[in-house]
Amino acid sequence: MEIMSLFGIFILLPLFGTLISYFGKKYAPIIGLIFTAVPGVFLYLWYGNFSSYTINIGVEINLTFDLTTWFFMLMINTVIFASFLFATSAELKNTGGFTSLMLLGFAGANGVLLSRDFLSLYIFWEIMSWSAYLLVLRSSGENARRYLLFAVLSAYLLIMGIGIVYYYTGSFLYSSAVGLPQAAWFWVILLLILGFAVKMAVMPLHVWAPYAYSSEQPFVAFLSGGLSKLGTFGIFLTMFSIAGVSVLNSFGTFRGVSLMGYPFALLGALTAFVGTILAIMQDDLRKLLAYSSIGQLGYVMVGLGLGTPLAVGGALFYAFNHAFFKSLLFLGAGAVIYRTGKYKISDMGGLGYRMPFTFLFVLFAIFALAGIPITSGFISKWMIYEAAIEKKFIVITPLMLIASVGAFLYSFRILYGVFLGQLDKPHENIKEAPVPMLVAMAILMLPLLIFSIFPGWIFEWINGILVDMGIGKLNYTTYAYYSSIGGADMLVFWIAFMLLFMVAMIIFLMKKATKVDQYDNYLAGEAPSYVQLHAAHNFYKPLRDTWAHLLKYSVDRAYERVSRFFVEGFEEIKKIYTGNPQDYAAYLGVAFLLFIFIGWWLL
Amino acid sequence: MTDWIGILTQAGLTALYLFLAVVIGLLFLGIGRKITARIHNRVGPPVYQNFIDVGKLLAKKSNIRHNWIFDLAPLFGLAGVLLTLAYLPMGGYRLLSGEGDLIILLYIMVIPALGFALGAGASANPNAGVGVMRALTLMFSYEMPFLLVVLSLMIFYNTASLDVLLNKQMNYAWAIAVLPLSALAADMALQGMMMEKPFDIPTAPHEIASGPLVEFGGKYLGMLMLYSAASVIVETTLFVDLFLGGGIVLDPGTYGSVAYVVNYLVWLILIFIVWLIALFINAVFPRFRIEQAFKFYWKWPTIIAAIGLIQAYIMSVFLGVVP
Repeated sequence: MEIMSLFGIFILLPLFGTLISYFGKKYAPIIGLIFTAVPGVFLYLWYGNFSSYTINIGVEINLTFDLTTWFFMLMINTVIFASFLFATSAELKNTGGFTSLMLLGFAGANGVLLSRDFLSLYIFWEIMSWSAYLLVLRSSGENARRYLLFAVLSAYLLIMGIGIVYYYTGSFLYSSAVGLPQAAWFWVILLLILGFAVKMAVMPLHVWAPYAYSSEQPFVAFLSGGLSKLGTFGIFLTMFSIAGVSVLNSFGTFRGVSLMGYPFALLGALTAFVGTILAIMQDDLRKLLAYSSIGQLGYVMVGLGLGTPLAVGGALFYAFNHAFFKSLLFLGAGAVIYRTGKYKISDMGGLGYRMPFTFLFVLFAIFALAGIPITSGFISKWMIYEAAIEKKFIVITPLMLIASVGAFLYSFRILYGVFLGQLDKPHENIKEAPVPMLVAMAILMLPLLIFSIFPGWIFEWINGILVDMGIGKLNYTTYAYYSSIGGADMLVFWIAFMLLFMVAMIIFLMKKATKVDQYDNYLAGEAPSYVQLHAAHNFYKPLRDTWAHLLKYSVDRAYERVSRFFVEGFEEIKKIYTGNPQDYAAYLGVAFLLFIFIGWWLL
Repeated sequence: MTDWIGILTQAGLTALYLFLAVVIGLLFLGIGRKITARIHNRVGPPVYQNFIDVGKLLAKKSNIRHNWIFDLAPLFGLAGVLLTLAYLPMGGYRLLSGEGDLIILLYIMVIPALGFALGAGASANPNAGVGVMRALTLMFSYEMPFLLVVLSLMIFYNTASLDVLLNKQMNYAWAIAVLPLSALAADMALQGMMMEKPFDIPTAPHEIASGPLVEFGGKYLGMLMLYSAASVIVETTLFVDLFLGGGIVLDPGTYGSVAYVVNYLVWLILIFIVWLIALFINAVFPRFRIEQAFKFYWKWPTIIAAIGLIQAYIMSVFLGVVP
């Protein structure tokens, strides 16, 4: 494998697809499918064929294809493939533009994953970021502006970090950063992590996410499932490849955890908690999933911050799971929205009886999100918990644990509000989602199931990454996984679960049951012929009432207040343009005097 | 080749323990009805009433179902609760849990509840939806102190494994003696977990017609009664395992199979005591509203549990007490 083939397959090919698919009209998503399937095939072929190339094009740049890159590419490639499959039947407006921008984002993402120098990282990061901006812009200018603000903030933070490295080393290569002085390391790590954390929507940099995630669902699936993982990748690389464990530990350690990582772990735990609480309160399906996504990525941040092998392995596994279950949830929401045209959870209800496959896929994704052991979502959660408990952290752990209980609450809100309960009259003739959408969801579901039965398969990759980065090793077998304080065996779990399920099935099948209409139920003697009785409106009202005095504090509104302050301030400044020439003449005089005095003082 | 006879013996013993647990659970429910009735100065049904009820319900010829999601409730409910029991050491005998991990146990405990909630939600009855909402809110309430308690145990005994926890309690001291405040908070959380008054808000028979249970009848209700019987055992055993050393008084390593029998009996007495405490509180209290329950749990039990956590933390980290 040569550098040109690497560059060609993963970056030039999607860029070429960007050009072609723009003219693809309604066949554009199929073109997109082809241009994402080909890199996918090469990803399969080139596994194990890892290499690194440094070339000099005036400055030295480095493209590396290693296990870390491969692991993240696998997620992003699968997620974008599923998104295109979904888009083939989603009847988006201007499909050519959509596919074109998605492929551009894909090329940028691959570039970020391949580059091991700051220059190409920054260029590809911007390509990815701008294509995402234009994709958000397709549905709402206001949301896009909010996204843009934070994308630019992220770029500024990154460029400051890069500037510091370049000032000291005169080189853009990651590997050349080793000789930085201690004070410079502090700022570099801080700025780079914050810059990448914007993409991961870590609190308090999360406020763009609920707005950006309200765009078209196939794109949001890619944004939340795929592109947000670039933030994870960036932070992972900053901490363990650019800086490395020894540099992190040189800042001092707290029970074996670097003081540079611990605050971020704390921030991640807070993000998980706050994101979950806010998700419970949402009625807009897209907003709920967005806040849930913020909360879930908080766990990843905790894992990365703690920095032990178990924690980082858990974070990588969690990022992997999140890529699949969250894009599956967004696609499921997309299928429901496509069929009903509604966004509010309380306007739906009973769709699970008409869209059973969509329901099943979403149910499985929700199991993964909530961490039920029949999915791989549990294992990654387990790893991060055990890593925190092992180190006896009594602030981070309770926050994470209670946040995962909160996840059950909003999960059930989706399940009950959208898929269960009463099927309303207007939705009685709703059909199952189109086949491509179902296939897309099925593709995303498979890894969650497979890696819950055979966690050892994915641990092989994760362990490889951890050993590559010099973090440490995981303790696992094909079916079981261990920490220093406990462990679990999925084979025993699955066999026991299957057997006991069969026991329940036997008792269940002993007697027949007759099916009745949904209106044929117990209503305390009342017999209304039809009445809307879907109890999904304001579902967690008691909780919302209890939290009311806390919910009035909001990071989102704090930013708005700051922006209003500036807008009003500029309004005041604008008043100096009175339109009266005499005033302008006076300003000129004052300015002239000022210049003279300053000049006199300076000279 | 794998030791097939060993595996089969293990499976047979597991089946026996599970069957016994469900029977004991039904018996406890019957005793509970009798005791509550005596406190209320009523006669009450006979102790074996719940066996008759389950038998009758499971034998019914006409059963009503709504749709296939509705069927998930009894299936997931019963299978899940039996799985939880299989992961819990009962009387010191650990069945499936090789490593006996507490966190996987906490998550397995959710499977039956979630399946039940799905099935209940699948009927178009709004009472079921409201009931599940209350159940989840209640869970969010009592889990706060309960998780703090579990965390303090895990930190103090420096293990996330229930098996190791039991061994260390046997060799060192029962956790209730070392961490009494945590035990108090855990017992308060247990009342909500068992949904006994003042926290029977999710079922609330007079308000929302038994909430999630409203649409179930016949074999569905029969299986769900088995589920609730088994979950009584799960919840009381969890408390006994966490704080009362799982009822282990004799070391099976030294005394052999005699120890298993004695430990089983001690465990039975201990869970009965825990169940009685819950019953006595249940018999004399009225019902909270759900937001009151939430405020209560996030205030007093959480404060007590937090103090317990700090105590465990100080003892383990600063004083270096190693059980």
